[in-house]
Amino acid sequence: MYQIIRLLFFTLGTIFAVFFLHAWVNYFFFYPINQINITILFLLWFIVYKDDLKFLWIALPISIIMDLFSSLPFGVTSASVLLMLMTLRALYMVIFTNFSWYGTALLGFLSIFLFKLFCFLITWIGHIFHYGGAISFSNIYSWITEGVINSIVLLTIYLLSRLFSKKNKYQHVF
Amino acid sequence: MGVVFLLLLIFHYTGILKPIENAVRKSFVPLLSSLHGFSIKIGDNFEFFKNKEEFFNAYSKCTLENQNNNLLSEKIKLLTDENNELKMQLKYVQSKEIKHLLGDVIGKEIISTDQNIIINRGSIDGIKIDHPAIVGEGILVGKVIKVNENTSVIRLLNDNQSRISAGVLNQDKSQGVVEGGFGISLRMNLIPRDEIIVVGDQVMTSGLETSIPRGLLIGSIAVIENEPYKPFQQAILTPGVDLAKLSIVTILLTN
Repeated sequence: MYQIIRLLFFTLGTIFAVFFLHAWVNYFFFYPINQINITILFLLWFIVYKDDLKFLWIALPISIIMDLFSSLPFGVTSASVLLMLMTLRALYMVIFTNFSWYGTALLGFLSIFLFKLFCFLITWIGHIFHYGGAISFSNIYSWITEGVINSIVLLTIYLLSRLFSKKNKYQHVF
Repeated sequence: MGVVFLLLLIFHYTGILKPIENAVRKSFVPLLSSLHGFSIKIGDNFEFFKNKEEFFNAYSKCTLENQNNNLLSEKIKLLTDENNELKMQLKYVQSKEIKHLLGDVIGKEIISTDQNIIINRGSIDGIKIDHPAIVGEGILVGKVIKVNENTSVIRLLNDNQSRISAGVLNQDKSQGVVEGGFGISLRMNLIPRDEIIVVGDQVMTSGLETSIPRGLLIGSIAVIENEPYKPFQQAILTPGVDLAKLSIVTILLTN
C-alpha cells in the first residue's frame, strides 16, 4: 500500500515537474531555445535509455494534460503523442538497432516531425467528418527547425549519459 | 492502453470527465499564469538600444508621435461631437452597446508553435468561438478558437492561421485580408493594385465578419509591396500592440 502511494506521488510529482520545466523553457527563452519540447524529450528518454513499455502509462496522463491546454480538439494531441512514441519505439528497436548516437539524433528529429504530422492527419480526418478547426500544413519549415533543435538536445543528453552513467541497458554504439 | 485511451475520449465527449478536467486545469492554472506574468515582466527589460544615437532617434520619434497623437485626439473629439449632433438631428437609432468581458491571460500555447494564448474565462462566462479579443480602447489582438468551461484559447493576429477581413483608412477605403506570419509579422494581402496606400495608414477591421465589429484597430502600414506582375499589392503591418506582452484582454460578446 505504501509502495503504491509512494509510486503515485512520485508519478504526479514527475508530471508536474516536467510540465513546469516545459512551460518555463517555452515562456522564458527566446527563439530557438523555446522550441525545445521538454515533455517529448522526457518521454523519448524512456525509449533511448530504458526499453520498458510501461513508459506509455506515464505518457498517457502527460499527453492528456497537454490536451487540456491545447487549441486542438481534445484527443488530437494525446493520440499524436502516443502514436509517435509507439512508432519511434518500433523504429528504434527494429530499424535503428545499433542504438548509436546518430540513431538517437534521428529519433529526436523524427519525434517532432511525427508528432506534428499525426496532429495534422488526425485534424484532417476530423475535417472530413466536419469536425475540428482550421488545419495548416504551411508550418513545415518550423517542424524541421523544431526537430533539429530537439535532436541536438536529445543527442547532448545521450552523450552526457554515456560519459557519466554505467547503467546502460544496451551496449550503445558510439 | 488503446482501450483506456478510447474510454477517456468517450468520457470526455460525454461530459463525464468534465469535473476532473476542470480540477486539473485549476491546479495547473496558477503555475502557468505566474510563469507567464513573470516572463512578461522579464521581457520588458529586453528593450536595449545599441548606441546613444539609436536611443535619441527613438526618443525623438516618440516625441513626434506623441505630438501627432495629441492633435489627432483633439480632431477626433471635434468630429465625435459633430457626429453625435448630426445623429441627434437625424433621429439616428443607436445600436446596442456590445457586451464585453475582461479576462486574464494565464498562459500561451506550449505544445506547438501556434501563437495562441489562454485566458481564464470560458463558456460559463458566455464566451463562444469567434468572439474577438481586444485590448485598450479597441485594438484587436485575436479571436477565440476554443472554449472550455473555465478557460478559452485565443488565436493571436500574428499566428500563421489567423485571417481577418480589414480595411485601410485611406481615401480609397481599400479592403484586404490581414494574415499572420509565423508569429513574427502581420501581412495585409489582396489590396487592389490601383488603390493608393501609404506608410502610416491605419488598418481597421472592416466589419465583414459577423462576429467582429467594424472599426477595431489592427495596426498601421509599415512596408508596401507593389510588384507590377502581381494582381494585388501587399503591406506589412506594425501591430497596434505588442502581441507578446498581453496580460489582460477584453472579449467582445458579439452575436
